[in-house]
Amino acid sequence: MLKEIARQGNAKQQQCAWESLTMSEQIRGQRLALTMISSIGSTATGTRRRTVYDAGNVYNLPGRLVRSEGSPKSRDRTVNEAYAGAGITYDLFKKVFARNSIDDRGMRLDSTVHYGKDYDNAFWNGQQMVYGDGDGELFNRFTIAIDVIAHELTHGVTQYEAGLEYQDQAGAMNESLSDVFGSLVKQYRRGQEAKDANWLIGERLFTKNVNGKGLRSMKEPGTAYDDPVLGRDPQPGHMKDYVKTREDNGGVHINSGIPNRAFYETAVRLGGHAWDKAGQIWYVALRDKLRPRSNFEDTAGLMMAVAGELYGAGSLEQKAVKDGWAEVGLKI
Amino acid sequence: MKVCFKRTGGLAAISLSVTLDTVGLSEADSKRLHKLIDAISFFDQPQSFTSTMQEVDRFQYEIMAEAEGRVKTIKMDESAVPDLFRPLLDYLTELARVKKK
Repeated sequence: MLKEIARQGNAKQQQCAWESLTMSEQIRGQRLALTMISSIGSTATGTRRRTVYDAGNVYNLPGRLVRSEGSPKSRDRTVNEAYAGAGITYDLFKKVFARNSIDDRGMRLDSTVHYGKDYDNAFWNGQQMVYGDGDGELFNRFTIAIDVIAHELTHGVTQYEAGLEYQDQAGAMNESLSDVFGSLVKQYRRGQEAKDANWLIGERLFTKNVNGKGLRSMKEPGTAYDDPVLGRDPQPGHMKDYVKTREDNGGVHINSGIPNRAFYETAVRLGGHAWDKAGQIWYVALRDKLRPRSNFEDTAGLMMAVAGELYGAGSLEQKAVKDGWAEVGLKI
Repeated sequence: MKVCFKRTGGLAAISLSVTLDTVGLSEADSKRLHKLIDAISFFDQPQSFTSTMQEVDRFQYEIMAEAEGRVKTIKMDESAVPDLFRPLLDYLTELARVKKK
């Protein structure tokens, strides 16, 4: 009966039903609850389906259900940020790229907030987004930055499409795609053109104690922060500065600065909203062309091919892609 | 006892590390560290805990401990960390943060 009310009742009835079902979730345990909630959460394809859970500062997922699609705002701003961020990310992919959620089949967007103790990270675990509160000293809560939310969701898209391996250049390409669509979501929400965007990733994520503008700069990799405690942003923006390391899965968050800047260079050459042309080329490459082991050079060539298919061989768009990659030392 | 801890990876890719010698710690910190190491039978644990899943933006941990002539290094992917290790990891992370400040 509760399921029926959750499906068909008025707004107030649906909320009461959700709350009752949430209590059931706590009683019956995660696996059963997920199955149950998944079935009642089903809606017609092409609509947003968001759920937010609260891990209560422990390390178990998904945690307690605290907000679902259409339910009223929470008193907890972290919950609302995760919910809103998933919504705007869904909208960009749907309205601009005609993609129906992470899997293009209307997958529900699950997020967990308040994960772990002073946890200074966010991640995609293959099924859902997870956000820590930060330590409060160096890092704020990770839902504060909408591009971080979109970054994590895009890892899901990459998982379902190119399946890029999370190691070395393929891993850095995986990371870069998450930064690219993370930045596009931020620009989309602000209605910004490429020339007006700041191209920072994770703005406001650092506390005031840190001398930094954000985690990364797509425009000028290596300049996002320079702090006595955290050190200096290690990202290169050109192949000649490529960092060889075993840490961080072969520097996936470091060398992503190179393709990040290639996207920025392409987008500013094309002008207007970055999601219109540069975003389309990157999206189609991600969806149709990239493979699990695609490296930077492969990717640059495939994006040239996509630009030719979408806008014509020798088009201004294709030239912008070529010049964008050439700026970072990859001549096609 | 000596303990070296390092955390790498994560969305921000900013590493944390700390090297501790219980001789130089306060009595309370020394006792706590010994207790946490003993609680998980550190020297009897496998050398690595590796995830079979591809989980992005997650941390990797490395802990080296040296005590009574025994030395052991354990490497862990965050998603493969046994619950048993969490108190030790939280404590070492806290100490590494204090050192960074």
